[in-house]
Amino acid sequence: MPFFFGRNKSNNTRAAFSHYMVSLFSNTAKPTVLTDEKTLIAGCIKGHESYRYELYKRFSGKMYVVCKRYAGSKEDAQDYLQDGFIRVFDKIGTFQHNGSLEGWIRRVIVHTCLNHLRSRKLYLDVPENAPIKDVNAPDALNEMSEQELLLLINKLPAGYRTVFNMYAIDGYDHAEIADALGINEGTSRSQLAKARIWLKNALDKNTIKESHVNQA
Amino acid sequence: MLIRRDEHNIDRVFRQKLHDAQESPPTHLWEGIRSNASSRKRFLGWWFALGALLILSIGIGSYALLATKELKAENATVSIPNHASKQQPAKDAIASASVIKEEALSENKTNNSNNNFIEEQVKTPVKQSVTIPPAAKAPIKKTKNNIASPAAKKAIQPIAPIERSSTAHTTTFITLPSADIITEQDMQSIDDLAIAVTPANDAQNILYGEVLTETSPITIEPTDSLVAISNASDSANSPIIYQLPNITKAKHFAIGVYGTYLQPQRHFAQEPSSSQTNAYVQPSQMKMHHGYATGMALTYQFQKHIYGVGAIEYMSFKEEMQYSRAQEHANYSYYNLTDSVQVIENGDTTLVGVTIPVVYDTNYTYQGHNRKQVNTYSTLQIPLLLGANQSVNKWTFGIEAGPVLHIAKWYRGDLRTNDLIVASADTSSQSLNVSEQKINGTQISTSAYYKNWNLDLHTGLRVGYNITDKWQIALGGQYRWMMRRTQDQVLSRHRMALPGVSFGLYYQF
Repeated sequence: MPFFFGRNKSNNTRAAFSHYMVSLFSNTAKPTVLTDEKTLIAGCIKGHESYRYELYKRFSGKMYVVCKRYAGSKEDAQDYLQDGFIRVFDKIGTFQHNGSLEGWIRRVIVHTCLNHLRSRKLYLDVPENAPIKDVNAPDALNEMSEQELLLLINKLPAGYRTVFNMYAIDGYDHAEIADALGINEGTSRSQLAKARIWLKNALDKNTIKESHVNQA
Repeated sequence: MLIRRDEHNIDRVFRQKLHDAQESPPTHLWEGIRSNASSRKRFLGWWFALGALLILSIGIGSYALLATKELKAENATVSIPNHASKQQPAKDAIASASVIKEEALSENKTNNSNNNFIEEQVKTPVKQSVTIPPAAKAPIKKTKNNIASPAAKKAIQPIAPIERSSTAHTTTFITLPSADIITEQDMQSIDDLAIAVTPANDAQNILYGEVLTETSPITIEPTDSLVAISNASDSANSPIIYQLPNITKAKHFAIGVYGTYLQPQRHFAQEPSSSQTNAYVQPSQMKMHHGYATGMALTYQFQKHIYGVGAIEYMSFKEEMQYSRAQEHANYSYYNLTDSVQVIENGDTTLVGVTIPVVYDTNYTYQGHNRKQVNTYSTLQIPLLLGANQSVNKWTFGIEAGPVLHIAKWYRGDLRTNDLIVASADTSSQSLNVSEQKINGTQISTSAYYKNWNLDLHTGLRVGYNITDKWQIALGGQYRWMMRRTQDQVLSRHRMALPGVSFGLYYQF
């Protein structure tokens, strides 16, 4: 913004003055400590940066995990989260207050992730030698931490991961998944089943080792 | 949270543990979101402004057209100042004008009952610099649109070509030879002159008319752009056609200079993608700073409403890149930094800077200065535009579009840092080749010149105002889509929008 500054000025001076200028021209209304949802949304629609930050602070933690589940890598998840929240602020005027704000934001974020995956056709990425033998999920599954489960999901082939995330965790049905990904419902069901088998097999130590070898 | 009847145990475990799981994202992500969200708002604002300007131009143009038609249908007035109303020639003019009116009334049975038109006030004085022969200095009033009767048309006969001393715009006057009648052919040779004819009169002819065009050369009706022709046989002066101001000759040139201010604008795309091998990091935000262009333009009005523009201009703009995401680079743990190495890369050039940013602090206030790169681009461009315009009095409203050819590019990049350890690198080898360099609160610069070409698209609006017969000032709004190429001529995924406003001064001939 402070493009009008001369080069001879020190950066500190420039930074301080530009910060001052930013504060002059930006919306600096401060949200209350516990801003209610409607006020928060109204502030975001008006473009108040402080309200947007408040909204971001409230939901970015959960949405970051959503992005990590879909992206498969930390770097991509950060990209998705960034794009997702830009889209949230862009579209928040369309929020109808019919459901929860968190649910609406989650759907926007998920669709942002899907857009990214669609553009790279990653949701079609399925392994050729996927395990086909179904096994019982080990009891250890219940004892696994969130991080361990997240790592496990990230190891899922992208095609399985997307459908599993949408169906098992985010509550989409097969018709919605098929519509969102441009695939048949049968394909969605098939990939979900294979994802479950893959996960159960991966929980078995030997299978995990094999999958590592295959990936390497 | 949706719970299904046929839910598998594995689904339930994942859903219970991951559906509401939280993890704080890196703090710098917010900076990128904030910047992009605000720049998008500004971007939309520009579209609204351009849309409003377009609607305004169309509205004014439509109004002008409708007003012209209405004027044709109603009584029109043209007057010459009554400076010599007591002189004998003026009386002749009055008598002639009376004949005009009587004829109009008798032949066309109009409802005009204004018998005192001679005494009416002068409303539109002819430009005073024109030498008006005494015979013409009488109040002239035309009251009906069909004042030029069939008899008047019959009176038109060939004469010698008209010798004229006209200007490109406004207040054109033409000196006729000593003949009292002009021909259709003669009138065609006078672009856009407004002429009407009364029956020939040895003493004096007072003539009215309309703007002549190539398609309607001699439809004799009053308009808002009229002339009066005086042929005073008893005067030493030659007959003169007086044309009221604001008539633009159809075909003319204009040459001028202009300057354009380019509005800061966001970038549309990130490049290169993280999947490319030579991409170490994507800038989280790339946006254009302000810019400017200066140029020289030659315009040619092909027809009354069509014009072309050829120009050569020098454009320079700044581009700022901020980085909120970086790929980790283990070799730099030496510097004991909690954040990662950053590669500042412009997909359009070879300049690459590697910065090791300061430790992120949740309390930082303006981190952008700590880690941003400002590139300055300079290009030589040739816009070739085609436009449509409409003149309303002294104003001209136009809309134009066309390609813009880039023919060269200069580049200079400044990497500005505060308290950073900076290393510069060159990605031309497709690998990160870091040379370490420590700078504190300073900047490193790189410059380059490319023989580069490109083709952009320009759209714009132009509002001109004739300050004199010859000189016009013009205010324009533009929106230019710049397609960029890399150094090796690969079309870049960067597409820059360059909205701007320009101001120009033109000489018409």
